[in-house]
Amino acid sequence: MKSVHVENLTKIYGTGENEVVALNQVSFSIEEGEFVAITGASGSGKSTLLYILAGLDKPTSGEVSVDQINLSSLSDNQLSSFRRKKVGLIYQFYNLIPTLTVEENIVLPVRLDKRELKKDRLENLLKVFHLEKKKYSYPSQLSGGEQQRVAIARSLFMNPMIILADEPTGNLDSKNSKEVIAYLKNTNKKYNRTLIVVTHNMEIANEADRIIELSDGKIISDRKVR
Amino acid sequence: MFKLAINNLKRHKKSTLFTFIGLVLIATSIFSLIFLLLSYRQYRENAEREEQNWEARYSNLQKSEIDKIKNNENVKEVSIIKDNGTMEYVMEANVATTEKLKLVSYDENAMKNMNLKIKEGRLPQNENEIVISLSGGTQIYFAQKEYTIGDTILFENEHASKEYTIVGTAYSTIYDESYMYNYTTGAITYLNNIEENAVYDVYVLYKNPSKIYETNEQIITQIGEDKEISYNEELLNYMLVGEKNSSFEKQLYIVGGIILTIIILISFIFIYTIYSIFLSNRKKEFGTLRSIGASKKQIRKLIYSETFILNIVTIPISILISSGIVSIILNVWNHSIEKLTGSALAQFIVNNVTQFHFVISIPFIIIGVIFILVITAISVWIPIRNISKISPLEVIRQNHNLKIKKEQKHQHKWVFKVFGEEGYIAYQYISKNKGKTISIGLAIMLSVMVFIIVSNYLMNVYAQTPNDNREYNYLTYADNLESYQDLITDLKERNFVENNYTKEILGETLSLKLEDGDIHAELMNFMNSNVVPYAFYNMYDEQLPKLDCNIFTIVEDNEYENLLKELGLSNLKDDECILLNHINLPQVGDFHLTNFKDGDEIHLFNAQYSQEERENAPDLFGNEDNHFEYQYEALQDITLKAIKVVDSLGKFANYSDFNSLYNKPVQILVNRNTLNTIKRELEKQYKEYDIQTALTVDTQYEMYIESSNPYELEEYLTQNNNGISVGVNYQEEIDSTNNNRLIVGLVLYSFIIFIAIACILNIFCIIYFSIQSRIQEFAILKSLGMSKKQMNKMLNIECLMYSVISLIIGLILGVSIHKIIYDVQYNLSNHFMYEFSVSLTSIGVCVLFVMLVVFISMKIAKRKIPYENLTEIIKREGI
Repeated sequence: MKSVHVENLTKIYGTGENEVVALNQVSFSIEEGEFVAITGASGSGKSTLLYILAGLDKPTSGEVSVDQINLSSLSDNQLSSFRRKKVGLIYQFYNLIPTLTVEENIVLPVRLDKRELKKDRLENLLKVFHLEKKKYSYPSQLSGGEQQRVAIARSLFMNPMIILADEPTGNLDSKNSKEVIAYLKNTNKKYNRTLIVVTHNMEIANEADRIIELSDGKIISDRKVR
Repeated sequence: MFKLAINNLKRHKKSTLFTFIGLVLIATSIFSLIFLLLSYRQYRENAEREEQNWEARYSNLQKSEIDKIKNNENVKEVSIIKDNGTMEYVMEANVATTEKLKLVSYDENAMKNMNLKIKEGRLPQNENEIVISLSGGTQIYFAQKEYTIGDTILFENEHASKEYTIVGTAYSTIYDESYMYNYTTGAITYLNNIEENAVYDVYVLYKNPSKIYETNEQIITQIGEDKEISYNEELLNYMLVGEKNSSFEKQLYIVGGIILTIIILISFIFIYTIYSIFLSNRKKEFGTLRSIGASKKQIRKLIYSETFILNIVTIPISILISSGIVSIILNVWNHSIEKLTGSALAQFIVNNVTQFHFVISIPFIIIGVIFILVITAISVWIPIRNISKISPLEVIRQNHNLKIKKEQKHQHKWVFKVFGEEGYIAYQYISKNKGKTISIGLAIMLSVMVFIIVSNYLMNVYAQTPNDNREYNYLTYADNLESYQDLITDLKERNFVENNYTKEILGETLSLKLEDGDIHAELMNFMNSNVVPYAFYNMYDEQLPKLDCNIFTIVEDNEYENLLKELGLSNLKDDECILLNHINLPQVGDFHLTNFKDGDEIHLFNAQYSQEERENAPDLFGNEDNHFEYQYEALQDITLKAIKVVDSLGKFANYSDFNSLYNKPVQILVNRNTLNTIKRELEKQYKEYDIQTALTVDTQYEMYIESSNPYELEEYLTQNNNGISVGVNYQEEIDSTNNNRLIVGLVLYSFIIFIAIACILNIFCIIYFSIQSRIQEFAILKSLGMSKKQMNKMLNIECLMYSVISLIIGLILGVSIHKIIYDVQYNLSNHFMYEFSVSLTSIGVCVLFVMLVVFISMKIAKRKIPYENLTEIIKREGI
């Protein structure tokens, strides 16, 4: 089943002389459970593509469907709901809420959705990401690697259909980077969650099942790795 | 550094604008206060000079000594006055009454400087001409004779006998006096030559008054140390060269000090909180500067430079604005005085009220500038010091510098249960961001506190400002009722009278006997203050405390019955009375007189004829100078039952001037029978004790008129004088009192509004910019799935949390400090002040406005929160 379907997606910022075409007639599909890396040079449009898939941005034209939901037709409230239920987002700079503890950060999207908290799931995630002892710590008390693990745990706790990660290892050392990618890959395989990772690091990209390369807003290559 | 500072100010347009507006408000208020105080000081000095324009006085000098004073290099001008003595006249009908005419000679300078205000005619131009004071009346009257301009009067005493031609009348002179039964009228003639063997009083003006004491020491060494010298302390105090701790200076320090303290507090709140938020929002900028090598000192210097540039721009603008504001206020005041005519203007002239002039003083402007720079520097010191300490690493690594001491379990379940997840996030933000939360809370709390203090203080000042609600604006007198009734008919036909009533007043002065415990504390405080008018002179001697009374009834039956009904009575029996136990003195205030309660017995007696009084005051009665001889036994007291002791008799207020000989502090209402009974009783006692001077006790009639055209009424009565006195037209007094109250109200409420605006602006800025600095955080929450509704709920709960707590603390502090200020003033004013009160209106307004401002600020700031196109915001480096 197609998890993601993008057809003739175009995103233009600005107008007139200041117009910037971030994405130009991009089309592709991703199957459920697939691990896709989106690569490209800086400014190629990869993060823009990711955020459109997350419903954080609207395309100028074209169609975007995630989990068979046409994002263009959703209202703001519906998009918020979509993000709470369907999408797990991981950022380069973690973007944890500084005034909430590790535990509170992880459960935040589920609380916002007013769903029941599954404590065993939480404890399991904390264990998997070695965060049991840091449960009541605040982000400022954690290292970069720990913060990113919290961010990943947050994205997984809500049980999303699709995980979107924007340069998840961009701010980490090599050891932590490897660990993070390992977690993500494990989640992808174990839980059959679609995983899309934006990265400029080819070493990480080669861990994926498929690499889509962007340049100047267009797909210049789309190949299976394994 | 300046270039960078200017660029920063341009780049952060909004914050620069808000800071600029705030600084303008603060600087304008400071300069307005300075200009108002300067103008007021000048006004008081001018008023003093209008009354008597001299700075020091030498008494009993001879010609040679006067010349030495004139020749002193610091002496600007001298006025010379010669005392020609007094002519006395004792009334045959009442030997206790003595009239005196005091004659003085003024040289040309004295004519100008000694407040000789001519009503009719002209000043004397030679030593045969004389000007006589009207002593507050309408005609010259002495020794039972009336005089007009052109008449001659023989001035005769043991030293001289000379006829003078009356060339003018004066409103009053400094020699006019009335005490008990002694009346002195001033008369001025011209002083042509200084004679060798005569003595004179010399009134001196100085070129440089600040050196007055030094100059007089020089003069004293020349003319001898035995010469009597005195100073016009009031004038010197207003010129700020007099003795310290004068009442003027005290007043200036108290009022000016309170207002200045409030302005400083507001300035500090505004500048401190604004800078805390603004600088906090620029952490990354300063962190980056630090990371490339800027030192803490350089960061501080940069921000101080920005502040200094803002001040340089705001100060001249503020001086202009405050000049405009103060000029307008003074013009309004002057305009209201110009409108006065007739008797009220005369009264103002007599009381020497002059116009306000707008005064600018460069030294004071410089003081103001320095003051503003210092306040600003002090207020920004803490925020600047905090931001300059920022570690560049903190910014680069996005450490949020939350000072978290220990790990915390999810313990605040009650917050979660009551407010939900959104409320919990809000609560966590507040509790974990103490710095920002304190800034916001402090801004709200201090704004509330200042508003409560200022509004309550000024509202009390306004409440104490005299207010004249009298419906009856004209008063006339008569000795018999029939002529009154004819007059009323005539006046009604001519449409001069809308309403009227008549008081019949006992002509004899009876005093209310007071025992220990009968005197109200407010009256005691008043007697210990400095402003005791004539009507209270007789009140208190150590042996026999008493208050003089007006005992009266209402002639018109319907008016009498209406009054009783208003007081809750159906009738007033014989030997019963209603005691008015409250008095309002213009410019002083109002207070209770006695501790009598409903149903108490009161005792009235005639103090003149009381043996007890006579025995206890032998100096006053029975000495050789007093022609009153007492040979009588003690008279009986008149006893009445005060069925009601009231604070007001409504429209039947006592209109008369309490500095008049004829007015009494206590008003006692009785029925006609009781009044007649008292008359008969007194007559009986006088006959029994053979008091020859008072075999019949008279009553007098006061007719109160409500007229829609009182000036025409006054003119009509002046021209048709049929044995009824022209009386008193109170309309101008009413208008001027109410005009004055209006102006005072305008000034005070303008100040309250200004404070409110400053507080609102402060709260708005703090909240608006605080929200602005969290845009990225909101974008993240949005990206995690928080809906617009949830975000609104979170922010509303956040608002509610810190505004409610800050409001409560601010209200408590505000009321407490208001009480402290009141207590300080109460002690400084010799315990004579209005009662302490807190206005519930001001509290209600404050609560409403704070909640409104907080939520509106939040609402406006929320418009900046992105709900779409979150990408760019999220991609910025962390929260």
